[in-house]
Amino acid sequence: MKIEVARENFLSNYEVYNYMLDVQRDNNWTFTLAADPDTKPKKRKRTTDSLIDLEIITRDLSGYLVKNNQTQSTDPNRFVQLMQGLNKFELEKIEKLQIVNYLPRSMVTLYALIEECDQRFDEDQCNEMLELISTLFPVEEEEGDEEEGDGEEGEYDEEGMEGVEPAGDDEDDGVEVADELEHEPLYGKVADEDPKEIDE
Amino acid sequence: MFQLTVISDLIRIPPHLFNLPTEASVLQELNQKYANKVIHKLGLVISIWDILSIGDGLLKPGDGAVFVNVKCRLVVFKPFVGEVLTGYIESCTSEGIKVNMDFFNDIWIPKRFMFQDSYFSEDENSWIWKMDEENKLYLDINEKINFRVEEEVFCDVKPKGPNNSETPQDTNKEDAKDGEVEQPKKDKRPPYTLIASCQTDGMGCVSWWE
Repeated sequence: MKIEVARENFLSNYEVYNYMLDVQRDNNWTFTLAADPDTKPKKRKRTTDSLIDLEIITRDLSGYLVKNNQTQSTDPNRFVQLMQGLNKFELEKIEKLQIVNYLPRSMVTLYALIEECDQRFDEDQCNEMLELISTLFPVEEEEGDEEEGDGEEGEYDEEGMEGVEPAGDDEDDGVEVADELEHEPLYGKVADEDPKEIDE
Repeated sequence: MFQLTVISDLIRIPPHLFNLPTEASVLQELNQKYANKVIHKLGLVISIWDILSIGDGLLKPGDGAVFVNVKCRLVVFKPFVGEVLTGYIESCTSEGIKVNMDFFNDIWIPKRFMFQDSYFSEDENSWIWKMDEENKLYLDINEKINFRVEEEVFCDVKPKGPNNSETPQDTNKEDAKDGEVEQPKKDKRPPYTLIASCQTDGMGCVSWWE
């Protein structure tokens, strides 16, 4: 094995999660997939025993992401809008990535994610960032006023998206997935020994 | 937290996979080889993201399998230094805290990276952060915890020997005895460990900051 490019691009948790869902669907595993009435769950071919490692990591990783609410099943356009909004601020790429992954709701988490936040941004700017996040990704309880923050003023810098959403073509597949799914984990037989509580 | 890595490798396709389309069989072999494995000095491979190119099949005399040169992209779990992650406390000892992320659990917060004025309580079996004279915050087992990655440690794990003869077992026992003095629970070093810290605002139990 030869490593050609050690870090070709970063992936956001959302992309990884959607990819995990694709893997599960391809292999008929149902850890975090919602039950699909069209498929017969009994009729699963166990030709994939050799992929047990993949099965374990897929189950654990998607379980972890669901448990930590890093799987917003919204429209990827929201992420585009968030990135465009964040491009106004002089943030590093990895800081934007972390904001997209974490969606900080409070000042203290924002400060944790951004290096030397107090020196680089004043309070108004931080509040603006938090507001942007909460309008695009409202917390579950307060749904309704979702579309307000969309019209971000300022010039849109498309470049910023490349870093976080490198595989645009894969993303499209993910959209359907995300729309169809409720994040109710249905653990497959492998997951039986490991019951998890999912707090949404 | 995750990144894409491009690798190239020579993959052996055993004859029983010849009925599958080339891509499917290559993907299966690649996933079998890399999924949930740590690549030294890189990180934990989650799965194959996509295949970039598949070369022509090569035959080797005396082997029914086909060998294919493949170039593909992997999804790799490799948090960068300074990244903030969330996990759950698996165990506490006087040396530090072990954190579990479900799919990855070799995360260690040593006591030197803990909040100032925090100490380990034997009775409660947990770390306590003494914020001021009155307020004490507990880091209990199974609490959801934020931490910052400080360092990544790779350990080149030697392949397991094929034989179960007497000699290697003896050395194992000796190793275990030595290990008991230093680290009672770890009998072998994990290939990939994250050293994390819990010192700044926003770190520690998620519930503290909400």
